[in-house]
Amino acid sequence: MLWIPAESPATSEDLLLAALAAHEAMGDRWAPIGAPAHELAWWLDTHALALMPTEAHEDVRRQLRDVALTDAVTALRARLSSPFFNLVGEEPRRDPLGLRERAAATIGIDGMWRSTGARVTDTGDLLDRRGRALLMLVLSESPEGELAVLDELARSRELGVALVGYHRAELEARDRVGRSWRSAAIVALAGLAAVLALWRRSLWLPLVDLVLASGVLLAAAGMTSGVTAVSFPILVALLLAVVAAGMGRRDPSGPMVVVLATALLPLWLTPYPALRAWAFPWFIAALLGGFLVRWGRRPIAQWFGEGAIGEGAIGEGAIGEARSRRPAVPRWLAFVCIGIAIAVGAMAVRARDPVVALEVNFGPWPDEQERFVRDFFDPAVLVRATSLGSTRAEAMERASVDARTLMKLVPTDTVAVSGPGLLVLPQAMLVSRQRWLAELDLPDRVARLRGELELRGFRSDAFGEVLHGPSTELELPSAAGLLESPLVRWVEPAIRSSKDGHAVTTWLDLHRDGRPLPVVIDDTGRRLELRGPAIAREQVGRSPTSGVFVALLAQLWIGMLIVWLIERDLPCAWLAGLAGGCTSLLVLGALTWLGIEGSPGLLPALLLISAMAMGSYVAFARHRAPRAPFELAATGGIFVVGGLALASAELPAWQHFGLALAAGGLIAPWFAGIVIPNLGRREPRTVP
Amino acid sequence: MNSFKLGWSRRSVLRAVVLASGCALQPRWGWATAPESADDRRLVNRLELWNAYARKTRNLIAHAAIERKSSLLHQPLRTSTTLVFRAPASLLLRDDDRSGSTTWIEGSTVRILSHTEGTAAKLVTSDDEPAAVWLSEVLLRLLAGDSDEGLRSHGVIRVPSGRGYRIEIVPSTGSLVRKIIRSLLIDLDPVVGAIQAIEVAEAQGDRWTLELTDHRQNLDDASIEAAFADAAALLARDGV
Repeated sequence: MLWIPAESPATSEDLLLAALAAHEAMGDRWAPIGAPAHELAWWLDTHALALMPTEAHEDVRRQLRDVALTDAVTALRARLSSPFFNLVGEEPRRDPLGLRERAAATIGIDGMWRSTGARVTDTGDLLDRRGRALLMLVLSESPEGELAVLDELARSRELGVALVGYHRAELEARDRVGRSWRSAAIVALAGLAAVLALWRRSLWLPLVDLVLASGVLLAAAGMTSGVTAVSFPILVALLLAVVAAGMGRRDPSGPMVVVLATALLPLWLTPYPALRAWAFPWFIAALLGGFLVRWGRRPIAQWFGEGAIGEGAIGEGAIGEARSRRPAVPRWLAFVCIGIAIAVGAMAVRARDPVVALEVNFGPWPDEQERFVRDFFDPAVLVRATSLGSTRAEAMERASVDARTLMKLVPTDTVAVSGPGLLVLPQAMLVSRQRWLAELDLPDRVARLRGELELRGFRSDAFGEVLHGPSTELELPSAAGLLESPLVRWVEPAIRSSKDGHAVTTWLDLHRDGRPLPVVIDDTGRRLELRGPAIAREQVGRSPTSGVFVALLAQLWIGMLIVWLIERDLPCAWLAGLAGGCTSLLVLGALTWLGIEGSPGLLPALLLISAMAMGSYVAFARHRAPRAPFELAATGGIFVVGGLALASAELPAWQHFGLALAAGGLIAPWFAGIVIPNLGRREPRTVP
Repeated sequence: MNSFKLGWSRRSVLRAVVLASGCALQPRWGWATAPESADDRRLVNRLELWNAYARKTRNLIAHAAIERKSSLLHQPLRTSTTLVFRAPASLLLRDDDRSGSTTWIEGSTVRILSHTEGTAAKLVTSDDEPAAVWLSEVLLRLLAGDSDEGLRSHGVIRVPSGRGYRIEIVPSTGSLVRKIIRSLLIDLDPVVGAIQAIEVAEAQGDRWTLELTDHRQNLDDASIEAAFADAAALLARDGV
């Protein structure tokens, strides 16, 4: 995008001249965004009548009658007295009857960009309605080179230049992730090392834990998409889960490891591909990592020479049994706490819309990106329809049928439709149009119009472009004709070719109010395939598994099943489920209180926290081990430290994820260690 | 006395003091203004004259003769018209001919309504055509009166060569408006300051001229409203 900065003396003319110079410099890497004005006018001049839909044929016939021609010329002369005659977009020399204008409006080619008032320049770039910014399309995978060319051109004319649009958003996101993840990872590792060193009273064991967990993390990153905006917080969560699975003293805590490993399996039920990709890699990595850390660290630490590690040294301290006794909470108070958790969670879920698309919150975009959306178009409301064919012409004909089907959605369901398909007719229609045009007897109508113009004082020669056109043999708007016309430069980027065939794209500009787009069926009963962010959002909204509760309930059910299978104790499984459910509800409440908007990106954090609370209850709190409160606190501390490390990152999405983990780390020990165990049956206060 | 003997006469000391204080005061305290060119003075005079009449205008009716010279026509088009203006932003140019048209500017909306039934009206809103918006704004400001800065924000204002009390407004170089409108020339009454003629020169060669006579300023509202009611009836007929 080129634009005129506030203090610059540059004008719209400079913008257009800079754009022309940029086209020359970029060559084939530049393409028009809209149909270039002159070429489009030429195409419509030639094919306006043929492109008129059947419903308009009777009106056109009426418009070409003698009386109508007389009225049209009289009105034209009447308008000449207005100072605005030549300023209102009327082109009497080319279109005295308004047929071209009417054809453009009827086929809908002029509707795109109307919502922002941007206009297509003579060369096919977009100029904003005030003439202060210009948008051009660059066809390049890495547009840095083109940007340098534009920068040089813009600087000499005192213009601003920036890369905007989807590619900019992608580059910006990659850049922000790249800037943030290393520091967040270092802070998380350092914090975890400190917590583990305090807990273990050893330097070697935490290091071994972290090295083993990091190895698992690398393997998991390799299994998935690597470090991305969505995956990095999940990788940090995996680190926490692996380390948490290794907590505890002597007995291997099987339930903790398995419950944490199955925590993210419910993601497979969700409609978000980026999250679904994590369901099984997490399971494998967390299971392997948990058992590796649990049983592998001691031999490794000893191999490194930490001979002092003995059974008593791990986690043993000077903390007396008396101090470690769990506080006894009356059952009624425990029930009150559970009631509060459910109420807070219910209010939190009511306060937000849980059914939203997975959109990573990267924080505010640069001013240029916002200007692009304001002055030109919002890519979030553009929808793409693809028409396939074995040849380019066949795909274009299919696109012409699809585009006319989509035009039926204008203006109720969509603002506008745009694409080369609107400018051509399928082969079957061409024959009937040729017959209809022959019936109109255009040479005779043109002669009549010429006579009327002369009679009212007009120089008929001044209207030569329209008066000479129809008297020659008519060309029809065929797909092959468009592919060989001067419009081909605009058409080419809309065609994608592969070994399977060719695809032509038609664009829809949706209403900004988010109204749903109906299912579009063409006249053969085929459902048109539409793609775009808005369609994805709608599909998520329609999906029954997009809600937070479905995934949470699935996690609780899986966790309870595992606890029951391992412990063979049904009440214990129910209580573990209660601990997990209450903790995640309270975390949801805490997030709402912090003003954090609900997002599917937070779902992994909520599932993990729920699993951590369940595992903590089963592994540490249930048997009233003397050190259980400290084990619980240390497990929670791991999540608090890891969460705060993420919260210190630049990206708001990661901050929210981190705060959810930290809140879970603070809340889970209370529920798993104090509230829920007091609901269980009274057991003798003995240490197993 | 000794100082005078050293070469400083009383006259030279006084001269030096006056010169030094003059040099010191002029640029810093603005005691003296920059010299105005003759063109600047003429422009300021004309703008004051125009504003003296226009600022008093609450409403205005005048007879007008319109002429359009266009390459579309064998002969220039001449029509008799009535101009009706209601401050601050309503203007009608109503052809007297039954086969003519009415141009109605209402704020940022411009409509061209044909008197002949069955021909569609033309409508332009502020977002559509920059040149139409520019011209409608300038016409309204010219009739309602405005600060010099307000008028200057629409382009360069200058006094064209030749006789008569005239002002020329030229859209900014390089703007989208300049591609369509070359200049706007306003002829003022040298005594009262009322606008006598407006000429629009278009980039493609057309020239539209409006000559105003028989100005009637600040009439009772009823006669103004009647004119706008007629236009509203045309509008209702066309359904724009």
